[in-house]
Amino acid sequence: MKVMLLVFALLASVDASARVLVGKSLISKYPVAEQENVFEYQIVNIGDTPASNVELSDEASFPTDQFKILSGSPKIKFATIPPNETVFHHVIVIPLIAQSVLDRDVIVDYTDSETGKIARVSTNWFSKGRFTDFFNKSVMAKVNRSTSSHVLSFAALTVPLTLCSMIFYYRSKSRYSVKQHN
Amino acid sequence: MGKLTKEEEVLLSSFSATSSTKGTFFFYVNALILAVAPLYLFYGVHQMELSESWIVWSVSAVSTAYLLSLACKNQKRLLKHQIVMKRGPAVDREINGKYATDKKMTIKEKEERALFRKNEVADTESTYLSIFYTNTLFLTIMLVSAFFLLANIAPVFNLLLSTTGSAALVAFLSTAKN
Repeated sequence: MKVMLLVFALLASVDASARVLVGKSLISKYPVAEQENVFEYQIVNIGDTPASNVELSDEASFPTDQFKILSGSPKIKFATIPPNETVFHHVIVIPLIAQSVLDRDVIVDYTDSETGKIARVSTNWFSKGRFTDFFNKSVMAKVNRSTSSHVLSFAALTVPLTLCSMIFYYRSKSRYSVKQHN
Repeated sequence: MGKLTKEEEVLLSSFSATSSTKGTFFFYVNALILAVAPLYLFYGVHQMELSESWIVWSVSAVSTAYLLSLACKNQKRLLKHQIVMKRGPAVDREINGKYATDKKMTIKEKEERALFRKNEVADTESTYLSIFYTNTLFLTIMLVSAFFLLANIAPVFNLLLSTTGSAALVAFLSTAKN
C-alpha cells in the first residue's frame, strides 16, 4: 500500500508543471477582404505551476504583402501566466485582396517557472490543411441583401393574415356596434 | 331526458364552445402558414440547410401548427360568448328592420332568425379576433426570442425554443378562464 502511494505521489510530482494550450479564432462574423477582421488568441495554462516567458508567434499567418495589420502584433511576449489562468490577445488585420489563405500554425514557446524547462505548443493538429476564405466586399453585400429579402418574404407571409383578420373584425364590429345614447 | 326542440338546439349552438367548420379550416390554414414562415427566416438568416435540418423543421412545423390552432380555438371560445352579448341589440335591430314589412313572419320566427344571426356574427368576429390576437402574440414572442434572447445559441435549439416554445406559451395563455 505504501509503495502504491509512493508511486502515485511520484506521478503527481511529475505532472506538477506548467502546461500551456493555444487557440486562435476569428471573432468577426465573416472573413471579408478590404475590411477589419478581428482574430483572438487564447493562451491557457492548465498546469499546476506558472508558465514564464510565454511567447506567441503567428507572423506566418499575416504576410505583409497580403495583410495590413491595424492593431495588435502577431508576435507578443507575456512575462508569466499563472496556473489555471487564460490570457487573450487580439489582432486586427485588413486582408488586401479576397482570397483563400492557408491557416498557419500558431506557435507558443514557454518556460516552466519551477523546473526551467522550455516547451513549445502549436495549433498544428487543428490548423493543418485548413483555409480561411476572405470574401469580396460585394459578396458580403449580396449576403446582407439576401437576409433582408428573407425577412421581407417572412413579413409578406405573416402580416397579411394578421392584418386582414383585424380589418374584417373591425368591419363587422363597426357594423354591429350600438351607439350609446344618454 | 326529453329530446331538444329546434329552438333549444339553436340556443345551445350560439353558446357552444365548438367552432364552425369554416372557422376551424381558417385556424388550420393560418396555423400552418405561421408555423412554416419562421423556417424560411431560419433558412435565410440563421443559415440552416434543408438537407441537414429537415427533421427539426418538421418537428417544429407540426408542433407549432398544432399548438397555434389549439390557441386559436381556445381564444375563440373565450371571445365568442362576450361578442354574442355585445352584438345582440344591433342584430335584433337589423332583423327587425329587415322583416318589418313581412306580415307573414311571426315574432317567434323573427326571434329565431335573430338568434341564428347573432351566432353567425359572433362566430365570424371571434374567429377573426382570435386569429389576430394569437398571430400578434406568437410573432412578437417568436421574433424577440429568436433574434434577441436566444440569438447566440445554436440555430437548432433556437428554432425549437423560439417557435414551439412561443406557440406553447401562446396556447398556455389562451387557456385562461376569463
